[in-house]
Amino acid sequence: MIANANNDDVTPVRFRVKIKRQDGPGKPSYWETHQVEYEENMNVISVLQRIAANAKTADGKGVAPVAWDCGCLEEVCGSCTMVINGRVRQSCSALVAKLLRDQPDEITLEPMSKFPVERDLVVSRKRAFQALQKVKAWVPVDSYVDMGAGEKQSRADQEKSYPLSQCMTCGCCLEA
Amino acid sequence: MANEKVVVVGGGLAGLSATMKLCELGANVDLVSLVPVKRSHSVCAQGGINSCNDQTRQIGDSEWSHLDDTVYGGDFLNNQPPVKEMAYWAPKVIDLMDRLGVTFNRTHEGFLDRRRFGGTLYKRTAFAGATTGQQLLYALDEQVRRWEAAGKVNKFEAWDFLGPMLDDNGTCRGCIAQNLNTMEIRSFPADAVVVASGGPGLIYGRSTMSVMCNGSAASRIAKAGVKYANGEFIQVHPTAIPGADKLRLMSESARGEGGRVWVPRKGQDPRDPKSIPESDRYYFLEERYPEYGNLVPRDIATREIFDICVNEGLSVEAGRQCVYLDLTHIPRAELDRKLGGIMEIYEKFQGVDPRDVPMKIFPAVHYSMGGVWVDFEKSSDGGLVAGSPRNQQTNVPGLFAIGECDYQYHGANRLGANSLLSCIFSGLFTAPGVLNYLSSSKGLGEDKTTSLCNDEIAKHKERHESLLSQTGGENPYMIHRELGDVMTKAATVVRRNEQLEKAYETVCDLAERANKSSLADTGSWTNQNVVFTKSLIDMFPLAKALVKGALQRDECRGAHYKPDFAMPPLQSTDDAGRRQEAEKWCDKFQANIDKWLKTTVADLTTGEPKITYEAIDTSSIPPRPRLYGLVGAEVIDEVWKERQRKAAVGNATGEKSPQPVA
Repeated sequence: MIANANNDDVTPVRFRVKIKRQDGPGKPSYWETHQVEYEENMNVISVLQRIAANAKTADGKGVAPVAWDCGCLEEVCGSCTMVINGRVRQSCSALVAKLLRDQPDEITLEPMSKFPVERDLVVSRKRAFQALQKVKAWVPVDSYVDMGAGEKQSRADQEKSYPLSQCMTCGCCLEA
Repeated sequence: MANEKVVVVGGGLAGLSATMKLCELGANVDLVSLVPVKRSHSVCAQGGINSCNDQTRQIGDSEWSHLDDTVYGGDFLNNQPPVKEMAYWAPKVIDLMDRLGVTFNRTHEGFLDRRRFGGTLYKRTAFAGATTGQQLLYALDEQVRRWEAAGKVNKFEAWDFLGPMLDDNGTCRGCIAQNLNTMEIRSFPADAVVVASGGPGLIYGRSTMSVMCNGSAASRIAKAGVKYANGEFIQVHPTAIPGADKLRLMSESARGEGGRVWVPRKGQDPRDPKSIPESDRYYFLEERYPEYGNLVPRDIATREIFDICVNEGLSVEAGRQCVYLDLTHIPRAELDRKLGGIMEIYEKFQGVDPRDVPMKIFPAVHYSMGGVWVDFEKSSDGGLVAGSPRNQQTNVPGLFAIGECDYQYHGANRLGANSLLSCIFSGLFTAPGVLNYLSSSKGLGEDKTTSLCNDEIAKHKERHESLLSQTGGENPYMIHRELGDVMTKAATVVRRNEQLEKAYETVCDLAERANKSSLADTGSWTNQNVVFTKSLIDMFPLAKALVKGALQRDECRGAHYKPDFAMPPLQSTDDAGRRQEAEKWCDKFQANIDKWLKTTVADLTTGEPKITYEAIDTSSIPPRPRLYGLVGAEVIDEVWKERQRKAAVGNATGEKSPQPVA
């Protein structure tokens, strides 16, 4: 890591990103290292965006861009889950400055291990959605015609169910 | 009527509500979506969903005033029958979502809690913390899964809609889509297609929208002949957190729950904001708009924040434009209960606790009021005819559009918490019309369908292959960056013709360069490179429609603000002088209505948008000046009302109205 001395905080000029890649389902995986220029407020998504725009390994070899999933970029959709520095999490809220503080040399990115890999960091989480079907996770209303309001609910009950209802089926919990 | 096949494109609030209602009515649905539907952009909606309700009714609110706020906030560019129908359905929509198990916040007694949003004086907004969109989407996702289990829905998630299939008569007979992993291109023959593909935020590079909001489905149907309307009306949300990859929304509910926007009276005051005394703080929205305060409509809040930073030099920081959005006077427990979701977003991405320190925010592109042109059938009471196939149908028979990708509900500026409503409403309301369309239309027959499918698949395969093999040397990601820069500079908060003219040229150049993209990935599995390049190429028709529409529209209306054509405040200080000025002001206002109170309709079938204008149905509420905070507002209002009364008397006695409205 090449560092800029900027007040107390040490921010790098550029840093290395080691990515576990796989060309398709059932294909062997391999590690590849990229080098990315540091920008302020960078998260892992913007790192992958820079790699997509200029797909070269750290030693300058042109490669196919790394495939990954993302959506809302604010941690409410559950798309961009991956294993970052050995820990499963959403990549949008993984800030580079913090990651480098914990592990200064490089950032490692891997796909989640409990789902089949489609390519690189993209996995298929179909089975999680199928499970929701299996347990019949829905309210069996009579119809969608106007029948007036639902039942009254206490604030305490709402405060219990709301956090549960925020599960975004990202699959993190299977990896942890 | 049962068992007809409908394709729904997009699985956000609009697509899912349409799907479940279509299934209930007996249709089978193929649901095509770029992402697993549970991850659609609707999850990002934070603040809530509007309806007149028992609490507001008792202090004078009604569905009619919800309609009035919506069209006044939208600067009368909305066709009123769909808005009226939506406002009257709103309480029913929220009741249904309540029955579907949405975890709306509750009052102590267990009723739905409500908060106030911009552009209204009533607490109309039901909410589930600060993740209302996510909660509504999950409830609909569950219902669609229920129909999936019943065999009525087939989901095609991670499929990219490539275009509609039109027969020789120009009737829609299904669509073509491509799998994002296997890259398979296949046909989805159907008796009707409902496009619910959301907004085109990616045209601006960074916005508050999710990465799949690229506008490609809207662009692809427009290329096939569907008209595109009011493209120039883009909402720039007043409060977002600037980021390298995205501008993250900071919900209007922050202000709805008492958040205050301010800057130090001295620009770039180095003091800790908490230590700056009240007398040194400029609560500019509250001072300039005493009635609505921090909850003026979005276009106005955005312009004021922009003005404070850009023209008055009062940005909080020197190197970056931003103002304070302050919640620190609200108890932590209340913030957690009502705004937890957005508190966390700020904390996660800025590393600062907004319960302790005022947030730093700036406006960001957020929503497209414009979109795919759709029809409606007006009822005798000024709403819509239920079950009419004309509702939400585009000019291509059999092709419908709903949700953010249509242009119908929000006019020149959308009110906060009306989008979730318009999405769910348009989905539910359209389904019976689609079914009625199916029962009145004739099928194409097996042979013709097969040959249509084969031809269309071949066409799209050929395009795919040629993109993979071409070597023009351009980098699609860099072109996208440039597009975002030029659009953000020229076509957001303040618009000037010379900038728009230049921007149009730049966009045309970029469009040509995008066609010469070389792909870094030429593979045939999860090739995100080629999918992105296709979407980039399809951003240009919409970008051109947007810039050209903005260039041609020489007026200020809602989010479309051209200072060179602004209506001035009154200058005179004495009553007689003011009155005289107000008369002139109203003459000018009327002349502007006659010229510009029209829907912009773009034909995008060739590379160049062809723009025409269409009359607007203002049959419920006659247009009136939008006077939030304007100097001389009372006098103008008085003069305008007198004119309206005279016109009404004139109409009643059979004279020709001096003020034709729509």
